[in-house]
Amino acid sequence: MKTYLDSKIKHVASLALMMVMVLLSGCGRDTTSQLNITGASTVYPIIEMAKEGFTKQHDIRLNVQAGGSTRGFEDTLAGRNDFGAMARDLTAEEAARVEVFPIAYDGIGIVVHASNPLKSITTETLQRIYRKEITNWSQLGGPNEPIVAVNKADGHATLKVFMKHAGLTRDEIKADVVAGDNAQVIRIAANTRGAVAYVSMGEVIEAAAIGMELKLVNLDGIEPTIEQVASEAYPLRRTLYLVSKVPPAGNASLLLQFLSSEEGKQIIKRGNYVPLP
Amino acid sequence: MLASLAAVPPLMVVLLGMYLVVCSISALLQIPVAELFAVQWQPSGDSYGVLLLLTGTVTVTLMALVLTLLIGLSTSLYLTLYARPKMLQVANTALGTLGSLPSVVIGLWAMTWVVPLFGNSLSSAAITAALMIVPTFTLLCISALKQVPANLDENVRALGCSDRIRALVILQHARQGVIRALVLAASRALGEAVAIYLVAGNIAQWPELFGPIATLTTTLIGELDVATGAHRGALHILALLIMLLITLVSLFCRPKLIRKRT
Repeated sequence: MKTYLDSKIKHVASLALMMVMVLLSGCGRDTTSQLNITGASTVYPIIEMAKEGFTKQHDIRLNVQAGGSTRGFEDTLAGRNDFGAMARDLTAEEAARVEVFPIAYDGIGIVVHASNPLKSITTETLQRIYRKEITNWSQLGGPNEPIVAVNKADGHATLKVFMKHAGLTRDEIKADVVAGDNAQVIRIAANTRGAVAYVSMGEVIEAAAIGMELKLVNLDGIEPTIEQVASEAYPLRRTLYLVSKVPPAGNASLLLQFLSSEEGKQIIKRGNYVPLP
Repeated sequence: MLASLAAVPPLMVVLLGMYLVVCSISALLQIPVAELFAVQWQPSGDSYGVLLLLTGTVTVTLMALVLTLLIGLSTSLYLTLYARPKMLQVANTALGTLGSLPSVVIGLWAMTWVVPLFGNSLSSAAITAALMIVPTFTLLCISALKQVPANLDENVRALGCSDRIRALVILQHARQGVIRALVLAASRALGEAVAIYLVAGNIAQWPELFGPIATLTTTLIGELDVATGAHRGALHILALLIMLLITLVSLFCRPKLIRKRT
C-alpha cells in the first residue's frame, strides 16, 4: 500500500514538474539586451538582415515577428513590443498615439506570369480588371487567357495601399484568388498563366532572380525599378515605418541610428528597398 | 502514472474548448449576433457571416469523401482480394508514405499539378483534400477487409458467385470498419488547412465547381496573423465551429469504437 501511494505521489509530482517546465520554457530568456519588433511582413526582411550587423555592433538581440501592420500597431499600444513595424501610412488617429519613424520606401510592383507578353499597364486598367470589367488578356491585346486577379487578404497593408492608389473600395474588388503573405502571392503569380497581382517589389525581384516564372510590368509608363521608386517617379510606393509607444531611448534608439547609418542603408538597398535620403 | 497521463488528452480538449468558447463570447460583445448569419465574409467591411465559410468546408469535405470512397474502396478491395502479397506490401508502404507527408508538401504539389487543370477552385480543393485522406482511409479499409474470416470468402467462391458478389459480401461483412475509416477521414478533411489554402482560391462565395472557395480553415490561415479586434474575435468563432464540427463527426462514430472487449 505504501509503495502504491509513494509511486502515486511521485507520479503526480513528476507530472506537475513537467507542466511547470512547459509553462516556464518560454520565459527563460534574458530580457535586458534584446529588442522585440512585431508587425508588417514587408518590414520583416529589413530587420532580419540588419540582425547580424546590429548584434555585432551592440550585442543586442533582435526578435522579429511578422504579423501585419495593424497587429504591429496594436502590439505597440499594448506594450507587447519595443517597435511595431508598419508598411502603410498611419491614420491621423493612429499617428497621435505613437511615435513614428520612417525607415525606408518600398515600391509595390504589378506582376504577371513570365509568359505574359504584357509590358505595361495603367492604373485605370488595373481598376477595371479588379472590378471584373476586363476579364480576358485578349481584351488588352494579349493571348486568349482569362485574367486571374490575385488579391491580398483583408488586414494586409498592401491591400490598403493598392486600394487607395487604384481608387477602389473593398466592395468593388472582385478577385479570383486571395492570398495572405507576399510569398503566397508570388507563388500564385508564378504558377498561373493568367495571373495579375500586386506585391512588394523587392520580393518580386528576389523571386525572379531565383528563376520563378513571373515578371514586373511598367505602371503608368514608369519602369518598376528601385531607382524609379527612389526618384519618386514610380507611382505605387509607400513608406515603411517603425512605431513605438514611448520616445525610444537606449537600445531602441541604437536600432534607429543603425538603420539610418551607412551600413543600415546598404542593408536596406540589398533588400531591394529604398533607404531614406 | 498511466491514469494521470490518460487524463491529459481529455483535459486538453476541455481546455482548448473553453479557450475558444471564452474568446468567442468576448468576440460576440463586439460583433452583433445577426452579423454572423449574413451571407458575406468581409472583415474590412465588418461583415462576419460564417455561412459561406461553413458551406465551403462542408462542400469540400463531402466532395473529398466521395472521391476517397471511390479511390480508397476500389484500391483496398483490389489489394486484399486480388493482388499478390508482394504487391500488397509495396502498396502498403506507398500508402504509408503518402499518408504521412506533411500537408504543405501535398499543397505545393497540388499547386503545380492540380491548379493548372482546375484553377484555384473548389475542385482543386476537393482533390487535394482527397489526396490527404485517401491513404489513411485505404489502409484502414485494408485492415478491415483483412479481418473478414477467410472461410467466408472460401464459401462464397465455393458457391460459384461472381467476383462482384464476392466483393459485396466481403464489404458487407467489413462495413463497420469501412464506416469508421470514413468518419476518421471526414474529420481529417474538415480540419485540413494548409494544403487546401494553397489551392482553394480562398474567396468566400457559394460553391461552384470551378470557382474559388473559402473554408473555415483557409480563412483562419489567411487572416489570423494580421487580424485585430473584432476580426480576430470572429476568427476564434470560426475555430470554435471547426472544433464543433469535428466533435460532432467523432461523436457519430463513438459507440462502435469503445465497444467493450469481452
